[in-house]
Amino acid sequence: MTDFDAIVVGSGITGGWAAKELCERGLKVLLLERGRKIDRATDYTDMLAPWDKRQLDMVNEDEIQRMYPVFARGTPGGYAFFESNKNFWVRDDEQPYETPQDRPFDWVRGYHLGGRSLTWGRQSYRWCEQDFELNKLDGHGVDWPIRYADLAPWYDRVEAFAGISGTAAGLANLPDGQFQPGFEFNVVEQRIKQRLEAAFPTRRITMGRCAHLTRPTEEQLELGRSPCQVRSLCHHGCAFNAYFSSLSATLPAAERTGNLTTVTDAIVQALDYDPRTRRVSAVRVLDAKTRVGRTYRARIVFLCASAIPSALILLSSISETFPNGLANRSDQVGRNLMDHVDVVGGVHGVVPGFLDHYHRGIRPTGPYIPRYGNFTERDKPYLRGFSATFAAQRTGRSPNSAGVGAALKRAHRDPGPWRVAYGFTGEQLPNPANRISLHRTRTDKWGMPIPVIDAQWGENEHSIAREAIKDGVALLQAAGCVDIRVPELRLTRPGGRVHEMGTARMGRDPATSVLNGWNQAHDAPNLFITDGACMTSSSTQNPSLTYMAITARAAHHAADLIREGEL
Amino acid sequence: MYRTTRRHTLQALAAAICAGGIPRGALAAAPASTTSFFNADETAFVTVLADTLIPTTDTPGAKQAGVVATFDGLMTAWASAKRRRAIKQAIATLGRDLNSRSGGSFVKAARAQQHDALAALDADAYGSQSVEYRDYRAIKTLLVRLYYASQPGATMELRYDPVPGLYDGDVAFAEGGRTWAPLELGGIHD
Repeated sequence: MTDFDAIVVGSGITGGWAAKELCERGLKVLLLERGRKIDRATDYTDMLAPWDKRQLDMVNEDEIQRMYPVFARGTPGGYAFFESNKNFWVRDDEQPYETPQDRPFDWVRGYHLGGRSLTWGRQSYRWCEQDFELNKLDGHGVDWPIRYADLAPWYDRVEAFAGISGTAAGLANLPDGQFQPGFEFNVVEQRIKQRLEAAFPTRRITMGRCAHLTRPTEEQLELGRSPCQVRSLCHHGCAFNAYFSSLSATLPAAERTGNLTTVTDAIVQALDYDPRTRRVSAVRVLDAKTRVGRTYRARIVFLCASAIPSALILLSSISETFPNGLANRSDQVGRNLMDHVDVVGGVHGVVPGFLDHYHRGIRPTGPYIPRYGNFTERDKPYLRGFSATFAAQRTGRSPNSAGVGAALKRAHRDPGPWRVAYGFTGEQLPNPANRISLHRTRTDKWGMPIPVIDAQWGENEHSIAREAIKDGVALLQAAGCVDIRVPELRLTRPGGRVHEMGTARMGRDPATSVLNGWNQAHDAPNLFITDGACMTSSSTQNPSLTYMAITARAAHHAADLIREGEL
Repeated sequence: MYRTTRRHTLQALAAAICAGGIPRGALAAAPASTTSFFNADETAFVTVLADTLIPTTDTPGAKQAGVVATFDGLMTAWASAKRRRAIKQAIATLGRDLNSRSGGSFVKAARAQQHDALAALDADAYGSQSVEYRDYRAIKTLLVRLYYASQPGATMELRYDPVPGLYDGDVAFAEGGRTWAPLELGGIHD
């Protein structure tokens, strides 16, 4: 006796996909979101003119220190934090977590309908075949139970629905996908690309692939979406629904089926397990506002609450069968936490000349260099590697420059030289010591144990960061840059790239993994986990596209099993 | 370049949200009574400072663009208690320095003298990059940011295009001849 066919926990990038696919397969779906409902008409702030944004859109300094200490100390994840969109970010003082003193972690969260699909970076890259093989090849982590061939048709599917702008490039380390027209290189980037590919034939450059509509399909237009207007105001919400989010795409599609029930302000506290049926039997929810508890039942449960909360839910679901946490016979729940390594600041330079040229539009992506380390280039002092990006633009005159009066105004009319910025994204090896666990005593305002996050970079990540910066300098030199500035080598804190994953990994062996090749918990076949928690390794690509493909694949498998009477 | 398929609709939308002209109200200088952070003397000083730093030329300057009011608002709404104290002190120090460079009173000096005093201070501040002028550089940075975020600053001094519709990686600079106004402002750090 169930209330619904399926319960989906979380409405972010993967929750939205699970809801859509399951609803479209005819299942009655309950979507539980711990945060509040978002109203696009009033909560989106992308249409504010600069002069209508109060206080230069900067959050009050005392407020940041008190309420958003992670943003206050500086983290790459803070790129999208403004006064006008601060409601899209969790207050750390209201929802605290702990780390060991000497191992800080930047946990950047958005708890509201749509989650971080409202504020994500939209960069969307497929994994290549080798990415799935690296755990097996070098022995770190466990072997993925799937390969690229298993995911390829699902990448096709999610790309076509989401709308991915990109340019086909025929690169073995970055498979092409279903693309709408890609954005163009500007004149200086074209020159850099030519010089770079001549100087380093083993390194290829293609335009970034991003979840922005440039030639919407009929399906996308019918969902109320329109083409990207090239403003890069995405994290304020988009009145054009041009970038992919749960709110612009998957939830409207799910709602159209008539099969979706969405409940917001609903915090999942634990899942019940029935040892007789060996199934998850219920989802226990606390109303965030009234503190009243409710229980929902369904045939299947999709945990899409994001890597850390999904693991916390399992760890909080204690039973006689699972004293260590639901589906945690392997003791891997909460372990193998990964992010991507980066450094504070990037490598910068100036390309002389081209002052007769300018650009127009604020492009939401830029040139991308897929991982060449241990792919086309060997004998590296690191395993695996990093992907890289660069961009050239005339950024305008700094307000902190010399000059006053009419001369100041004249000077600011000049956008200045072409500046190049280089950055990278480094893979983090899976390490069981990097883990989240429940605090023994400290609870949050709803009485739930707060998480303890214990993670640090290993030697390989340090090596990757050093080499990535060196390669960045070489890139700028080959590009003909002058005034090359190299940052002091300071790694970002784990969590800072907001790609946290790995805490309920997929694997072939139930003794060393939580999920099988269909994202089903080895120990509870009606429990599916498809958010970042499921990731067995981290690779170098922005992960959300892979999360989407994994989710769509698992959802259809779950629906197949229900149809076949298995679940 | 990729044109939108609904360019007419979007252009109409853009026109509705883009400044077609400058409403008269946007150009009124903020009277002293509307500032809540700066007192009357400080307001008078900041007004002349802003007006000298970014004067009216063929386009409105900082004073006409209401930068004194937005600077005051910034201090009230954004600045930490520590920064508010520091800015008050910095304004006082700056006032004394400019008074001395103007031969007595900066606010009462002739416009040309005000300009020369500020120009000399600015040259010292950026010539030496010393700590002594750090406060001036910080105040200047805020005033300049506030000006270019204002309607006249963004739409008349710079080129404001709120709905570009496409990315063009190679336009002739001579076509517009000016820096694009940023659509995104501050964020976390100044």
